[in-house]
Amino acid sequence: MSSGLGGMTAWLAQRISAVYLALFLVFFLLALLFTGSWNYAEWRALMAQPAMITATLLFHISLLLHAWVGVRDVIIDYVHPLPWRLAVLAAVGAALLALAFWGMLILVGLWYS
Amino acid sequence: MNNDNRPVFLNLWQIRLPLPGIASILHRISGLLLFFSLPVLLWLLQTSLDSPTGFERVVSMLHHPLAMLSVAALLWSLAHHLLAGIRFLLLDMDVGLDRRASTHSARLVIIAAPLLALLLMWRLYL
Repeated sequence: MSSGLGGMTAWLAQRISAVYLALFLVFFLLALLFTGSWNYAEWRALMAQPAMITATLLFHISLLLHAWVGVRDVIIDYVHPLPWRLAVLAAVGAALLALAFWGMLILVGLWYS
Repeated sequence: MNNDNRPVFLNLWQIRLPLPGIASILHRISGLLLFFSLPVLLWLLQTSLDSPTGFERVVSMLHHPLAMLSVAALLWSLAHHLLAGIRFLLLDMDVGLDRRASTHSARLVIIAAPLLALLLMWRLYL
């Protein structure tokens, strides 16, 4: 497929990224559940720690990789004419790359603040 | 063998999808919802971290009734995708693979996801 990810690699990437996404989310949701109200200073202080930026960067990359494999599977299942399938795959791929770049800009901004 | 005259039965209102099938299709739908919400979520993250004014803007936007409805839908998507995903990982490892166990776990996921979403909504807004 145009992804350059073979079936087995994609299957594995889907599951390895899933495990990291789940771990990060469980910690994040627990923090959310057990913290009362947030203000800007606390929110920013939490997110700007180097360890948190690193963990968030890994989350961001895992999320986009996970989304790519998942959405690709859905497209292959439902979009059959080849030109359409390639066009939709290309659009999703471009969107995910743009999101990757955008997210990294946010994190770089946090790192150098 | 001639298969051209096989009966085709695809009336979606009469097909009774078993619970594992429902958990599975909801996993897809929730995944797509999460995918389409990514640009909005990134924008909210960026704006909330940008300045105290941006943070206040995000907080007040998220209190708009329509936004709260979207947040509820997203939290359900997240909860269902996470729980059903954990179920699929366990199935991959041959845990709970027989029919009874997989029906029970599918029911558990389908019921637990909206409850988890409600809990998160309550914590976020009250």
